[in-house]
Amino acid sequence: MSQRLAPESGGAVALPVTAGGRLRSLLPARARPRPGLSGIMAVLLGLLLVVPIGAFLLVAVMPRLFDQGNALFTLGAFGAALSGPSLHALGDTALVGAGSAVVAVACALPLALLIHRTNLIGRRAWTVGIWALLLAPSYLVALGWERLFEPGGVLVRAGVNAVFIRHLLYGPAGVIGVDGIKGVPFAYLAIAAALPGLGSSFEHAARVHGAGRLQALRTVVPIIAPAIWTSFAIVFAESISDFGVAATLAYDAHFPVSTFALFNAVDNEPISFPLAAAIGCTLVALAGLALLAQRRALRGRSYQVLSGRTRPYTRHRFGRAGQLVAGAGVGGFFLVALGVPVFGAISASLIKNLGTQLYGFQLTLDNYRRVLTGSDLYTPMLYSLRLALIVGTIVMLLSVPVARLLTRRASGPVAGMLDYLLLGAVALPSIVMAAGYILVYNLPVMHSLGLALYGTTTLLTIAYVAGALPNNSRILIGPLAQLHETLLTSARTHGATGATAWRRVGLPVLSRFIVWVWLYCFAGTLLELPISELLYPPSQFPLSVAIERRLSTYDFAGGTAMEVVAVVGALVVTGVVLALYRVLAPRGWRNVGAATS
Amino acid sequence: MSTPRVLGSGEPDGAASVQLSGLTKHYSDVRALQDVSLAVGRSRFLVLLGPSGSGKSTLIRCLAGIERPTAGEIRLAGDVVAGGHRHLSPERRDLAMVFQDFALWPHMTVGENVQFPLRRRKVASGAAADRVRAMLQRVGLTRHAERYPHELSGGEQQRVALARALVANPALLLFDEPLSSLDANLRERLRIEIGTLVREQGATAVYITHDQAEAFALGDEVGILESGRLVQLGAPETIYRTPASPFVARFTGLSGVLTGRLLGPERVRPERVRVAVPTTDSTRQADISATPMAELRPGAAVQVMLRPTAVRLCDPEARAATLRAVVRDSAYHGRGYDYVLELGNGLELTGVFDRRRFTRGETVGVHLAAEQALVFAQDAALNAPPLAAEALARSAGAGPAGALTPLPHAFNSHTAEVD
Repeated sequence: MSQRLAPESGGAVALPVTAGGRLRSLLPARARPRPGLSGIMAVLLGLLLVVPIGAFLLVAVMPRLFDQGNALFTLGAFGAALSGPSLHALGDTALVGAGSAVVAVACALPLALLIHRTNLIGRRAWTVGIWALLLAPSYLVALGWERLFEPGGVLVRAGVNAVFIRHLLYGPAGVIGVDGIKGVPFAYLAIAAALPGLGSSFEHAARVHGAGRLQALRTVVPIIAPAIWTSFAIVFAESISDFGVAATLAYDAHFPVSTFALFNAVDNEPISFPLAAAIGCTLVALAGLALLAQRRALRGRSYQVLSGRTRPYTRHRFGRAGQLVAGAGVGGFFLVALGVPVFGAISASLIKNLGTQLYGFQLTLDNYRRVLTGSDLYTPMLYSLRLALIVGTIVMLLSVPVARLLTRRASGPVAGMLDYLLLGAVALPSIVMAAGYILVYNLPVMHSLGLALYGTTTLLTIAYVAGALPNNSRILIGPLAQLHETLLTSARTHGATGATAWRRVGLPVLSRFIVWVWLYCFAGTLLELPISELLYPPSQFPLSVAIERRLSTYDFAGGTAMEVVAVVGALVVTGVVLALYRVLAPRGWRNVGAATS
Repeated sequence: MSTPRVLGSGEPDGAASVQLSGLTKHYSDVRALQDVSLAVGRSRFLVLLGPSGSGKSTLIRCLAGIERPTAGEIRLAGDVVAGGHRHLSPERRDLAMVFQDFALWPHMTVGENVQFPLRRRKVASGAAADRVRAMLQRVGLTRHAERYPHELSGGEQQRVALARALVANPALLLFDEPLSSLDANLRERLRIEIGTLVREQGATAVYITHDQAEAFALGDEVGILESGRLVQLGAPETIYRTPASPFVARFTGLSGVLTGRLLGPERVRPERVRVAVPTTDSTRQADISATPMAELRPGAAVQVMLRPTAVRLCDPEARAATLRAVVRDSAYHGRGYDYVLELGNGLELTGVFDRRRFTRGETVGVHLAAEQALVFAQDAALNAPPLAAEALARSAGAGPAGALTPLPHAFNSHTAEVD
């Protein structure tokens, strides 16, 4: 029984506390967690991700369950996946993953240090370059390089025969290089996020206690080891699951990798879902190995640096010579990472008869005219544009509640499972997910249930959403975690309903990030390749498939012109959306989370 | 360029451990340091005291070699380490530093952190291990050698930082507000430890802080920085008793400021002056005795800056009561009470200590000790005090030689002479 204290005249009164009931009674009834939201989201993500992917991976060992063979349980598919060409592809994949992770971190670490820790001129422009590289699909980067250096490519037409670079490009080094460059933004963002914890005093302490400039750097860089190892793991996982480079440069270089082997298994006769599934499992296992290696590397060490005592770092100030050298280094990177592929694509799109036996160096805008007037070229663009708008909007609407579920405390085991599910889905190759969609939605039982979606735009849209949701939900987790619960509770206690509190408080705080989620999703869907390749409806080609088909028929000029128009279109839409946000969003919305200097 | 003054035991400039001459540092348009010159004798402890933005961090960073001065010269043990085109990097200056955020490398154990300076100085591993062990023993952390910094409390982390700074026996120790992020109790304890360990080591130390109590407790000498300029340098007692400016007086601790007009030339004692200050009664003023800090002419508008120790409470009717005040707030501190007193006209005295208990709203007598009531010229921006018409008339008729006579005052004209 709780003790009741008699109030003194004018004194404070201690109220009895009943177990567990006090806080709940203080909350408005509608502020309590709704048990239904977790359930709804779990079902939704289960249908979108767990069922197709789970079924697909299961078919590797239980093919009969899905009419893919006679054996109820067999490891035969794994035997095939771990022998012959599949094993060769797996070895190549591991090599590409490891190599590109090293390349990406080796580029991203100095880039992040130069952009975030020095007064390097043009930091904002370089950051935009990082984002441009992040948004550029890997196959477009690979194709840009190919168009420039391939036999009969732009340079050869222009009379420059860069044989050495061509040999490098069409081999493991080229594939690793392009995948590595594509991995730089992932590593950069992970490292840049860790840099605020690396206060200048760590470096100054090393210097005043006897370390030279390089020794000091060697002393303090291990402090961000978690970010560096995370970068290795992320880039490794991204590279081994990449399909864009696998289907273009690696294919042309006769350098087979697992994602393309998986694609072949479900796209070419004889179709073998069990083999594809077994290859998918080996890819997942490889990603798991990378994560294990990361954990092992960090075990037993401490890297806790952020505390109330952490003082902000000061930028190293370069002199004129330092600016020149650092600027040349960063400029050189972007020249290679973005300049070469962009130049390759644009120049190729301006050359007449590129890809044909008709040699000569004649510049023309004919290819653009064909793209913009011929329905076989601009119809796919409109189709992809429509899908990108729909998918961007759906993902934007779904990612907020999913992220909210993941950040809300005491959401129970369902939220915990969702977290793991989404994390796993981020690491899973899109090609595996697309193959799972083919398998599940092509089953006779789906037809009998009236869910004959295979080969429809609906299924393609659902797959796009399923592919984009995990990543985009996780993007919102950071900002949502910073949206302190008291902001919403405060609105509720001052009379707002739950919806009003979200509209007046949550939305303004998150608006900038929600817009970026939409843009990220829109750009990603517009030029998406692996899901499109496997799930496009007959006679309705998404943009990436149309480009691929154009290139496969040696219309290199038309294909690259399509690429250029699509990228320019994506940039225009991005610009328009950002401009609209700037004009329409109240200033207070735009100020939240904006840099102060 | 001003001439550096050597602090300490009367050593010539050449023997100074640290010598700054005309040190200046600009960041674009910001003048962080302006023409600072000083010299610190070997094994002396200099504390630089100043508010935020006064340039103390810039000064210590220039000393450490982290910042390159815009102009001026720094000598350590007689050698130029910064000046002209010369800028010796931090690792070549034979110094160590304790940082405000401790800057312990989180991926290294306590032992590894402390051993770092020895490794850089290429001390053999066996000897280094012995010295680390001995150093950790001195700071009471022997059992924590294998722990990581985050596994230690704030005070323990600070001790590790101190051990790291001391272990290599550097010629110069720098402290960048090392106690500012700790709570009050811990601050007091560690302050004593820092003072003891540094003096045992015999190292020269330069310590920056914005805390006057810390500065006076630690420093053999204290330098006051204001807007990038060194405005006073001397022993703590000198700075407390004879601050060079109202800024220094304010920054080193005041209970309150009274404005008034200088009377005179008759003085109770030659080193004192008499000042007429307004009271709650607009027709009368009090006549107090105080210590002049500058040459002032009779009749001049002045401000009387009261150290907390200048103010004592007494019976309002007592002969010793110079002024009357109302108790506005009190805080019990075990040994007694800290009071906030209201004098009227919006004037308040804070931090007034007395062992006795007075209730809020009670009228008390205020007795002012003349030697800790410091008289400066009134700031030009402030108006002259509203004195009684009679006093102004007399003051006006006094003539330039200062023929003023003491005014009839509100209570009495006696202020204590505590020498």
